[in-house]
Amino acid sequence: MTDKPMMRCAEVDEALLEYLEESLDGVSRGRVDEHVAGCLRCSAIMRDIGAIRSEAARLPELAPSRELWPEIAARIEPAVVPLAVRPKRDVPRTWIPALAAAAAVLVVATAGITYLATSRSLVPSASRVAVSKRPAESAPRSTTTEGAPGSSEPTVAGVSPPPVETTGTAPEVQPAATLASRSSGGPTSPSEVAFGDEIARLQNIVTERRRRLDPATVLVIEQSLKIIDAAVKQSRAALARDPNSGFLADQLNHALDKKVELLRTVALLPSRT
Amino acid sequence: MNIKTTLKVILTGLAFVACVTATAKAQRYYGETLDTTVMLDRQATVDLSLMSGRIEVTGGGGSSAHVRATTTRGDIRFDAGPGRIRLSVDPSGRGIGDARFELTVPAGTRVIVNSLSGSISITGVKGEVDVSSVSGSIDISDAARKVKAESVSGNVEVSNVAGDVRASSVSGRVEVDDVTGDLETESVSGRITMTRARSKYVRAGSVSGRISYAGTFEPAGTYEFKTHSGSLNLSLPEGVGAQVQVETFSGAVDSDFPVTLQPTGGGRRGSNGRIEFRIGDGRSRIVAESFSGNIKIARGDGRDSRD
Repeated sequence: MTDKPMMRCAEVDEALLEYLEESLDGVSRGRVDEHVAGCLRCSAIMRDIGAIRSEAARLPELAPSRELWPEIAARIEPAVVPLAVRPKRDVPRTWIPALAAAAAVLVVATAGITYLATSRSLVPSASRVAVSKRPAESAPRSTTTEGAPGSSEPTVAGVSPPPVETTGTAPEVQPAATLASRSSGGPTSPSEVAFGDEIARLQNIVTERRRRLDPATVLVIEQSLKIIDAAVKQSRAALARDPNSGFLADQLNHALDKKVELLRTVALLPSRT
Repeated sequence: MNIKTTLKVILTGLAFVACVTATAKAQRYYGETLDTTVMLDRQATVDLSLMSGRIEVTGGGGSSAHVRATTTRGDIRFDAGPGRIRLSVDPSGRGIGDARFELTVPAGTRVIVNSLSGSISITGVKGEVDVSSVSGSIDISDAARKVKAESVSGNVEVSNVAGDVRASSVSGRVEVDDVTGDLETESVSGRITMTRARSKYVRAGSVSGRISYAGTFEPAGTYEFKTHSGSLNLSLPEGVGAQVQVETFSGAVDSDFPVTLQPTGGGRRGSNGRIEFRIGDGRSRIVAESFSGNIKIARGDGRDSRD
């Protein structure tokens, strides 16, 4: 078939995924076929994989309803909520096709969970967000350096500070730091915009969940959100005064990240807590 | 779904099946009160979560953990195996009330706690501790390897840790005493106090909170303290050797140590508000920055800085 020597099993293993995805070039594909045709081991593997694929293909697509979300969410947060237990019967040690069928069910279920989790972006991470750091050393702060105790409100010549919000929330919607509060001021950097999107998504979920939570819990959360909003506002104001500070940019991101983390926690709380 | 994903998920499924089989042998409990003893492996993990109430974990000898839990409303959920204890409260028909968890665990146990408003005390576990609280206070002492403590408005106190510490609060106070590993502290408005630190790497940052540090400055160590409007108080022991970089825009700088002029323009304020000077052999590196807060570099062990 080709001029090259026949493939070895290890080479077939290496090419297997691309072969199954049909992304292998014609020549390589032919060499795999040639090897499989004469190799007991590899032909058995091919048969098993074929069986798994056909089993999976026959399964109906699951479309979890929106109402399932709290339960699903509770189960994908292992640090807080224990996994649901299914101890009723032991799983028999069985042959690959049986496990494959079980796994195929999991394929669909897990994909549904993953889809829900990713589509709702409930797993934020500061590292995922592009932080626009401002190197402290990149520009001098001022030509005036003599300080004195109690001196305040310095002006930074030549720098246009980003706008500083004077209120912590969108007042026309809610009082400050309610579970539905939109933000603690307008975003001033790309990273804040990214956080803002995440926060808005989570706040929608949290607003829906509010009536299912204990009033005492809601109070604690609202107070904490208020504190975080104040921290965001304070960090933002500090950054406006010292816009070259990478440290303050980090602080602002940390405060926003903390808000996302808290909202996520609330979104995942079981009802009536 | 492509075949790569399919295979990955199949492997995940197999792992899941294995987990289900393994955990089926674990001890479980569901009720309003719990008082039990569980045998634990060395360096097992204890994973606790509650909404409000109190958690007390104490390190002890032996290889068993004693667990006591009560709740005013809700159901205590308890899962235990040799390598892990999980304790939480599930809402009942009447919701969730205050809970109290009291555990005595073998030394070396890893403790993970998540709480909304409960106060948390972890003492003498001599293992890794990871605590997250929203409004409750956190108090950790006698831990090892790695300690992480986070709160939004609660105070965070960590002491006597033979390992790395990361402690933060948004508005609460952060106090860390007697740490030997890397030390990172952070707040927005809360005061940060670090005493008797023996760390080679220290990083502390606050927007408006005051930062004070007293401890050793190890050769080749790095010590960074940054605040926007809070003051910085650093206490350096006698005989310390450090290259010091101080920067402030409108705050004052006060040093008990003589500022030695250096050929590279150090020893006085540069055009960017930065002062660089050397103390002793200059082997450790200290960075202290505050935009509008005052910076004080004092001799001593910092006893007077903890008010």
